[in-house]
Amino acid sequence: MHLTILFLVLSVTLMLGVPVGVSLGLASLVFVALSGLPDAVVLHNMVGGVDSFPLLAVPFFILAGQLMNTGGITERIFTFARALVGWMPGGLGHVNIGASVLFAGMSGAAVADAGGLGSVEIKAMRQAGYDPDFAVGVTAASSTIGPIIPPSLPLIVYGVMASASIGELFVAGLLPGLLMALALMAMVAWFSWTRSYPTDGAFRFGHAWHSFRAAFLPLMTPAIIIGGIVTGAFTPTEAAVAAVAWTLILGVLVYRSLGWRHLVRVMFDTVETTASILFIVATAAIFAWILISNQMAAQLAGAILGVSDDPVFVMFSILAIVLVLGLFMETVAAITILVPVLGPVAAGAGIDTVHLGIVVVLALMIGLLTPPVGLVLYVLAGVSGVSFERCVKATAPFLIPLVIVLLLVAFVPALSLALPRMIYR
Amino acid sequence: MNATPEGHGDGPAFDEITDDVSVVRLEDIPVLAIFAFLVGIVALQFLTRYALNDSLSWTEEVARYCLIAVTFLGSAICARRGTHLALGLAYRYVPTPAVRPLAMVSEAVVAAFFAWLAYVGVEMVDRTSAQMMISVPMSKSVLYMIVTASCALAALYSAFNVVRLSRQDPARIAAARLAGG
Repeated sequence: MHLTILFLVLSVTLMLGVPVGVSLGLASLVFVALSGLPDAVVLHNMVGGVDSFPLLAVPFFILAGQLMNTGGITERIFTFARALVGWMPGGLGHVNIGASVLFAGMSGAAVADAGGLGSVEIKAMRQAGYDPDFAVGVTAASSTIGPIIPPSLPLIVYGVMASASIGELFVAGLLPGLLMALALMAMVAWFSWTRSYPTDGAFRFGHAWHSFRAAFLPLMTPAIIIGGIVTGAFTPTEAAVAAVAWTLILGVLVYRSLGWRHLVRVMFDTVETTASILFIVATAAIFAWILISNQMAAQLAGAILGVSDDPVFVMFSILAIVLVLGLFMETVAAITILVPVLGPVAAGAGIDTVHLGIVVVLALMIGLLTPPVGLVLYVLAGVSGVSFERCVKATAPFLIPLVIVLLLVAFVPALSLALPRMIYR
Repeated sequence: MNATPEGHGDGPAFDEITDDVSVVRLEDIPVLAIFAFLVGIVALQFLTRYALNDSLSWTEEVARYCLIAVTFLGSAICARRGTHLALGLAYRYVPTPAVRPLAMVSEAVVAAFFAWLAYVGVEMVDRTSAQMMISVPMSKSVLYMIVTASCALAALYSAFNVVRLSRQDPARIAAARLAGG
């Protein structure tokens, strides 16, 4: 009965447009009050939810990502991607995906990718004569690569919730992320062939070399992050600190484009973005605590494992739960709530925590591209001027390659586990 | 997440860091200072681990407390600027006359929630006053004082927003809320 009210308050306030974090907290508070628990439980669990050293990687990766928007770094990387894959039919579509992969090695959020790089990509594609729907579709789909290729904010939150190694999770995301890029490029190639899209000019080695040199210093950022983590030299938090130091050196000393006022503004924006994510983690933590202490997790595990503990069946059940929740829930909140609930189910079927992490985040990324709560679609509708309904339709075909990759990653554990096993175990 | 304005000339417009600090208010200085301190001590811990092969023990605990402070103080900034992540779904479907009341109600819910958290916070400050932090000689209640002050600040900002919304043009409210906070 009280649990029904919990979910009722949550859904009504969410639909009213109350912030996700406040909705989760308010629903929990009403539940706690009705159950006669002391009020202090809510605040205590909220503070406990963000009282974690690994979570420190969140502000540092956000800070590094912000600092990358200086000295024409974005432009250098876009130009490099253009010289690299622009010669293919449907060239700018491939550039779009390639740039997302390069940026994925620096930033950890799909929505940020869609908002920053996305507006540039859509504009360039429209100028080159592509129809806006195709431009929006490719941009939306490729922005989901960011949180799979390290660094990744959702994977950090998952690692903290599941007590899994964030380093292993980051390494595990590499292959699936590249697979997503390949699958999306195949889709672009097919569209380009059937609609005879233009190339973006022939491949010129001189130009490619020139743009590579211009992008070389910024490209060291993903090299430091991914290389440092893969070789085991850095923990994820340390890699984030190193990335911040490197981007600061680029902005202040090399490109000389950062002054004090820029730095104050960057810190302000970083504090704001960090808080908007971690406040959701805090309130989702109390929400998850309520679900667990009321045996919701145990009941779900019993219900699924009672039917069968065959890993394939359990994985299908998990996919169904995550995909459906992903339609309605924001990513970080979904992870914080889902992980304590799904953890016992996966463990019962012998599914690896790291494998589960990649599957959950990938499935939630697909939720970012589907209505009603497709955050990436809202952002792109905003920056492109294409209506939300058209964005939904334009993105739909690109869900096919993403779902195929999701199924591959879900049922071929080696895709995510081979690399971390080689390095860590 | 700013919508990029149309670019100049032919080239694509790239979002660069702005030096516009007009959004920063006087009361934001403490959280910016805490954040700068946090960056400093984590970098220090990083260096001591590599250079001395032995990390300073107090940095980890203090860094965690700083992160909590940044989360809550930053949440107040989000409440002021309407940047807490929210779903703008409803604003696509409600008729124009309902936009303003809807926005005011949801903002009032935010204000009430934070006000209640601040109320609970006062109790937590009292309860933790005898508890000491592990590695630094400071009472744990200092942390809860910051959390409580943040929640009170967030409640005030949201209450002001309710008043501000009552005078705003519904079309602008809907556009801002649809963009997703």
